[in-house]
Amino acid sequence: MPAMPPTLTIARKEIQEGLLSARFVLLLVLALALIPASLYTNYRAYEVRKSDQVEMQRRSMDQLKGLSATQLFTNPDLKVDVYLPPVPSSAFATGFEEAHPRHVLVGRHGVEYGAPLEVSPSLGLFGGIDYLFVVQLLFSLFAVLLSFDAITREKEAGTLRSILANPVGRASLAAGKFLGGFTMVALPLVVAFLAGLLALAVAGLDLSAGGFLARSAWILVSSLLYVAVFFLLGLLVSTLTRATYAALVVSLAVWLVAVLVLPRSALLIARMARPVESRQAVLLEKTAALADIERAKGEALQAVYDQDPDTWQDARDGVVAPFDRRADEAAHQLDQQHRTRVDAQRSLALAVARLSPTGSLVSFVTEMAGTGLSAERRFLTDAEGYQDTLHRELFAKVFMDTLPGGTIRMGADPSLDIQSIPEFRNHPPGPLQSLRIADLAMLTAWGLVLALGAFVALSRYDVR
Amino acid sequence: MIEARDLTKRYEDGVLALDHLNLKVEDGEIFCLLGANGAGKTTTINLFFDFIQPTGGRAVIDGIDVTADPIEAKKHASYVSENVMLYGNFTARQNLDFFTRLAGRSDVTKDQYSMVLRRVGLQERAFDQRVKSFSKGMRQKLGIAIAILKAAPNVLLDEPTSGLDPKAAADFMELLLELRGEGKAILMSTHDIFRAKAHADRVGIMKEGRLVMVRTREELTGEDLERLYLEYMQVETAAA
Amino acid sequence: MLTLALKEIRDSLLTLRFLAGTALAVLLVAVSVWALADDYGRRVAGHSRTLALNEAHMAEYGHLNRTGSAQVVGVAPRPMTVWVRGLSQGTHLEQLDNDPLPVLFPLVDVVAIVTVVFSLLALVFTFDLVSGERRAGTLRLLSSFGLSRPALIGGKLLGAAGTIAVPYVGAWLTAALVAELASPAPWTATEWGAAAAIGAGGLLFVLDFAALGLAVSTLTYRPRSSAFAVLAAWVALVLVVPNLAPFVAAEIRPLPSLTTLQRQISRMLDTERDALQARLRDEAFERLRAEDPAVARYLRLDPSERAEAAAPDSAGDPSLARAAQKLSDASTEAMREGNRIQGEKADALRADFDRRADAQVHLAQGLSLASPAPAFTYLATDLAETGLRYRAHLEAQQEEFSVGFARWSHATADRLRRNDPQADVWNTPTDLSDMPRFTYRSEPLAGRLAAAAPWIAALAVYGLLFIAVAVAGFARYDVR
Repeated sequence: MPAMPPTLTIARKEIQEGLLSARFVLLLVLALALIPASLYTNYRAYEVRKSDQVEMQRRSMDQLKGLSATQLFTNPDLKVDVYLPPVPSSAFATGFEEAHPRHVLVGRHGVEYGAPLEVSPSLGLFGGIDYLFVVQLLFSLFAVLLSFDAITREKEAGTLRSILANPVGRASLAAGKFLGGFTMVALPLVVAFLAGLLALAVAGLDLSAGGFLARSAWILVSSLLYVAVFFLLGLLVSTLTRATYAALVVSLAVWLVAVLVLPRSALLIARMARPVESRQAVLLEKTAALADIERAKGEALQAVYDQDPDTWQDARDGVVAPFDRRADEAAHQLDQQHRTRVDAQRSLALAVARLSPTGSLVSFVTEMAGTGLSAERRFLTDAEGYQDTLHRELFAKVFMDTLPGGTIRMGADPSLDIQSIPEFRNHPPGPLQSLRIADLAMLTAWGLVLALGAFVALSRYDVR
Repeated sequence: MIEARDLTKRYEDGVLALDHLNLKVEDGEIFCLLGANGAGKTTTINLFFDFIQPTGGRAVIDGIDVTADPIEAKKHASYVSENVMLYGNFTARQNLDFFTRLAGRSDVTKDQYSMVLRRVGLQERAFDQRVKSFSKGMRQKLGIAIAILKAAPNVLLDEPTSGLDPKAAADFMELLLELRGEGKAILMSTHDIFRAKAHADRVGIMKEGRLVMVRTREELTGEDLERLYLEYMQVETAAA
Repeated sequence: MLTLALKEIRDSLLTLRFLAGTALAVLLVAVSVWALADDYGRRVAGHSRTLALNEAHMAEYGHLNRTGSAQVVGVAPRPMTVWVRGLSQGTHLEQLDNDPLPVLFPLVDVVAIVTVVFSLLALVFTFDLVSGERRAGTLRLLSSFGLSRPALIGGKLLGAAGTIAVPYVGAWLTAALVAELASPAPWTATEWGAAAAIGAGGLLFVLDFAALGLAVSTLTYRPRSSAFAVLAAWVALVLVVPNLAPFVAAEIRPLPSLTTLQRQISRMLDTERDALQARLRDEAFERLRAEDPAVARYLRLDPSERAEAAAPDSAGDPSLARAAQKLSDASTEAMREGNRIQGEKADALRADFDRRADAQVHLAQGLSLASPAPAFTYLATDLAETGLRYRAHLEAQQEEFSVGFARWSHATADRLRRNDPQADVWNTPTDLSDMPRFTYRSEPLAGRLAAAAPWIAALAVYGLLFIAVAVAGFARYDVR
């Protein structure tokens, strides 16, 4: 019978040791307690949000369709509320679900953010707990805690020499330590994850619907990669230090910077480097610009009316069209400028955040859960598409002109049929479209660099 | 066969731990290395297992240069350290199993493990006890058991009997004699001059990294070992 | 005991953990405060700009129907957000900005640094003060010197306190210095007072963790077990409990969704009210019909004839005109009554919701006090006016302002109507220069300090608890 390769022998020993250790038991308990419970609770919250959204959307459409023709054109600021439907996979990462913008107002001149939904009052100061939180913070910390003394504890116990007195290469040692040790961290994660899926099924989610399983699988893969990176980090630190104690301090410091400091500074850095004005300011600018154009339009109409009071209505369309076009362009341009600047700021923030594996994980998981930045972006794009539709079917067919002196003329195109105005449809990205390969690549790159470092350091490690 | 050819080790801080050491341990021979603390005994043994690399000369085991092919060399030698280092939370059997597999053997049965443990004199009820409760003597016995199962032709031991009570030390030496009888080459560093005189085939005294004297057992009987010891160990008393 | 304490401090000052930890903490604080000050400056500038834009907008195009945004615009960024972000973390209290990134990557402020970094630092400084000495063997030596056990542990406590106080005070001074230099406007005396109180609270918080580390050290026998126990405690107290508490509170005392509430309220004020008004009017009409024959006669007329009969100067029966008037009055009365009843119901519903929301928040706060960390957060955010208290005050003041604003609106509308009865006063541009503007009235320091007192007490209790555990643990410690 062929001998078990040393890597596997060492891995097996690591697993046997790990199963007996308090660290492993604590991690398992914490994971099993927190992950399924948070998935379940967040899913139920999703259900409430979903029914809210369906209802509010329905009311918005009912309200629109219930307007009389007169009401339509006496309200130039008419806006239709459009709500972003929540997704079940938000149970993994609440991301933006709890906050904004879930609600936009589609009007004649563009799309505006609606008032944000109120967060549960007590969640204001602290976030909630979701799967992403548990993996991002707890699992990374425990991965480091389980590996930071992988080498130093054996050196201090002297068993490192006992191992290396045998025909075992240092590479095999490193590989065995990684395989065995990582299993001890991955096991609680996988078990808790599966328990979580069970909890979701119990809560009533149809797991096979809508690509949910595909998303879950990708989320699990990225989580395992992330945890591996931190395990390798601890392992590297262990090969660079001689005393367990120093390894602990260094590991904790690195963990702190990588997980808590770097991602959170990203936003500050981006804001400093690429400042953006608030939406409130943009809104005011837009209103001012539009009001100017409105006034000019009124003067032009007055001129036409003065020329020939009887036939001015026929000439109206020709006079008004260029002004309406200018108004649309002005609004569109201001929105675009703002959007471009916001995007620039966000991409810088994300780029900086992704320097840390935590940033990559947050980015990947929120995207895959459908609660990330691109979900918001897609929603706005869909809303703008709907705005085009509404413009065509509604706004362009209704007019209210203000002439200088306060006279108001209003009317509607006879082809306006408010009952046939289509509903808003949003097209969220599917699992494959939500896949951020760049983030997975970053995590893998980190893992490879750390593994290489650990391997090199171990080959020069003083085992005496 | 264990061979040191002009083996030299100078550390990064400049200390010359080993200065052109030349020694050869034949199969079926026990060679005891005596010397004060810091004379270079442990360094020598560390060099034979590639724990450190020589700055000059070669360490050779059964004709294999340890630095050139450490993996192959380690298949030919067993290591027993001063405090046999084991995994405290594992039982004697589990430790034995782990190190045996690491040595490259996976065909050992449970009975064979029990047999070896009995042979080294470990009590039956200790087989499945956690090693952290073992006395020093028990740990040494387990260390020898590991070496026996590895079945390598050479055995290198670093101060194996220090801290053992006389009975345990005597039992230990018995086992070593058995291994010598099987034709193994045994290199053992020790402080225990009397046991060295009693059992070693040859004795070497190290001082400040050099082998200053080598005598066979026969040659030793005619000399006052104690006098020799003190003379060559003067560094220790002066420095102490 | 004092000698022991001084020796402890001297021992620690040169260790890797102390130097590295201090450097890290001071650096983090400096960068954080500087960056947040820069951000604050930008937000203040943005706010001023928004205000100016709004004024210009009102001056040129303002009419009474477009004053809605005036109330929200008026909330200036809180100056102490340079230290304590609190609730302004990205939700909608100050801007209508809907910036999603702060939700994903919350910003680091001094409070976060103290809560996360300093607590960890304190634990790292103290976790092996007893178990490490035992391993090194010096504990036996120490115990042989005739110091009683409580005195020994007391000396270690003082030493630990001194060791962690040095980097903490350094960090606080750095934070104060950077805030002073980098803020666009200098802090007032109130703000300095609050800063000092936050500093004191933070010191208490950090000392709590030093005591905890020492306590754990007296309960374990090897530094490795101490390290692990201490980290488990840190994870539980700093990461898990504060984030778990609101969650659990929401499960125990759930709230109906705001949407449901709004739906109920709008139904009450809309369809239900209309139905109620119709019913009340019908009842009133029935009553009048029974009382007054003229009313009965009026009601028997065709609708086309009613208008004529109701006219005051009609040629017909004057009693019919009076009857019509009675019916009209009754109708108005019914409408008012309907409004009142439904309004009260809606208010009651709202009040009930608010009460339940409060209960949930209080429960969450209570649960979160299982750890000292949230106590410090509440303390800091209340003192810096960026916390729950601030939100409550803000909402109250905004409501007060709303009422006053509505009154001004109507008064202005009346005035305009008097000048020109035919004009559409709500939609014509008017001079809005006398429009009331909202500014938040800051709470004076005394009030804030009083509010912070319970949190200080909580932190003190934790400290005493941990000290007690340390003393008791050491009393039965096996020093061999």
